[in-house]
Amino acid sequence: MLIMSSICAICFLGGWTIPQFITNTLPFLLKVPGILWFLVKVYAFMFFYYWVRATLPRYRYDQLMAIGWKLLIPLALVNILITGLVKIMV
Amino acid sequence: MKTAKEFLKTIFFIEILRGLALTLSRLFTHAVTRRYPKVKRPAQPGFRGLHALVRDRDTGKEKCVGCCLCAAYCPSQCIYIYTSEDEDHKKIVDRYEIEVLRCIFCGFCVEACPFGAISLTEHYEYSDYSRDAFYMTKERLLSNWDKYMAGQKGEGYFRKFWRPMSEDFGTPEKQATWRKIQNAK
Repeated sequence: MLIMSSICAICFLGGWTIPQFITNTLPFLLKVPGILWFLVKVYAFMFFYYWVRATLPRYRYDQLMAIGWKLLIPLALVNILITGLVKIMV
Repeated sequence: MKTAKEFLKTIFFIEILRGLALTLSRLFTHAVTRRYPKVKRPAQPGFRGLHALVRDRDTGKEKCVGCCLCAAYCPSQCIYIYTSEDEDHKKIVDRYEIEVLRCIFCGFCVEACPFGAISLTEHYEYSDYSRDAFYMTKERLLSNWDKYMAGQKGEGYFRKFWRPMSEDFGTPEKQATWRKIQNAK
């Protein structure tokens, strides 16, 4: 869970950095060590983990498969398509 | 075919998000559970726990006369009563024993007793490592009464929960006794 959350934090939330627009408005936040931001993000992901597990203790396997194959993969493919189209058009 | 609304519902996991919102809202409410060994729930009225033989306030001994009705009525046959006769041809209860491990706590013994001599206390935490601890002799049953039914609790017990609701369990008038033989002596 810790490793997965760390990877998620690095891949999707920018790891040990914080967004530019925050540092522009509040420059003193640059002095805060990066490990702190990273830990905040990791713990946020871990909270999300627990949250989902508390809400859906046993997601039925066929439902899980249905979500994966019928929903998330088509959505990802459509996402790739739209991104590609946007890249070509713009 | 799904409608567009349903389609959006599936895409954005609306149902799951509502579940998540519910669990998150519960995060800020008080817990519904009790911290059991520390916080105990009081036993409900008429709770059927560990057995106790009623100690008569006047004589300081058990009320039981050894009629064996409870033993006869007991569905799991876990009451053993041994009686003997003294010089006055009076029945003496030598041993009154209950195998608590076999008891199903139906309360029939209390119902059956014409003298209100046995009761089920509100005590239910008596786990132990040996079987001997669950074999209740007469002395232990009487001490159970002293421990768990002392005072008001024991006085109100039969009046509150058991039928016929009685103030006092005296000897019934038609009760068979050895009185004639005693008088003849």
